[in-house]
Amino acid sequence: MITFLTNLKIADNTGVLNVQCIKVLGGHKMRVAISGKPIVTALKKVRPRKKFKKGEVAKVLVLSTKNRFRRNSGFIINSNKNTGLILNDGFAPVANRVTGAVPHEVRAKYNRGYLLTRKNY
Amino acid sequence: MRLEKCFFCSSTIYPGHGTMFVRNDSKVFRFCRSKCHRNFKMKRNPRKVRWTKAFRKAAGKELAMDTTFEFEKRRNVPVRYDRDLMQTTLLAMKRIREIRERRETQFYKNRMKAAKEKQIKEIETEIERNISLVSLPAARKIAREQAEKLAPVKAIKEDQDAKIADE
Repeated sequence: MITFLTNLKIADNTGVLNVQCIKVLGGHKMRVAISGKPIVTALKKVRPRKKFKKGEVAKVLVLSTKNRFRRNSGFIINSNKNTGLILNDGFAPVANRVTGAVPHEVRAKYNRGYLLTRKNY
Repeated sequence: MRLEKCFFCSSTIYPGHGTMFVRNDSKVFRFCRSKCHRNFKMKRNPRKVRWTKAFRKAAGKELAMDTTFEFEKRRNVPVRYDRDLMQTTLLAMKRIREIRERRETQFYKNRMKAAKEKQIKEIETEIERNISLVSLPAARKIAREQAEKLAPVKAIKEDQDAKIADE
């Protein structure tokens, strides 16, 4: 459950480490983002000499959440971290590598070569 | 439809039941109910919790090594649907179940055999120790015999006491 002011970790190689959600996208009065939904974030902690700088605003795709979600198969799934992936203005991933686990629903939506990692569930 | 095994108690998870936890290194843990999930969150080791299958097997309380368990393993080889194969599989499942149940009962009986011997031994020692509390003709006889055996010793002791008193 990603809402306004939720902190997330970034699971890609853009150099961004931590972000904070400042807006949930996807419709009028959308309050909560689940995995696979885009949000707008403020970059809180960034590695030096990288593409992004601290304090900038970037779109992020939510990958895994601590809050559980229900799959059509009936399984309830949760993770131990809120993680995301940096997107550009055209909602395409910026990075070329993703670390950590990715739910297969997200993978199906953003089907790029590097998202087809073996680490999906 | 896939029937999964619970990470904690090793019971079967049917569709629509249980929860799944995905760790950040993408290892998946499946739990059959909140009890198992809670115990996992408490960082308990399933081999040390007495009610889990892992404990029972490790402690030798249940059949652990058996050829019938080989059939339950997960195979990542896709099989094309074949009617005859399906029929024979269903028949085989029943048969395997029968065999396993028989072996399990045999295992239980063997395990209980030693326990029964131990139980009998314990009861015997208890009776031996507290024979004086039992008032049966046979028990009384044993007690009397013991007293007779000790009688000469008692007499000598009394004599000695008398001598000391005289002096």
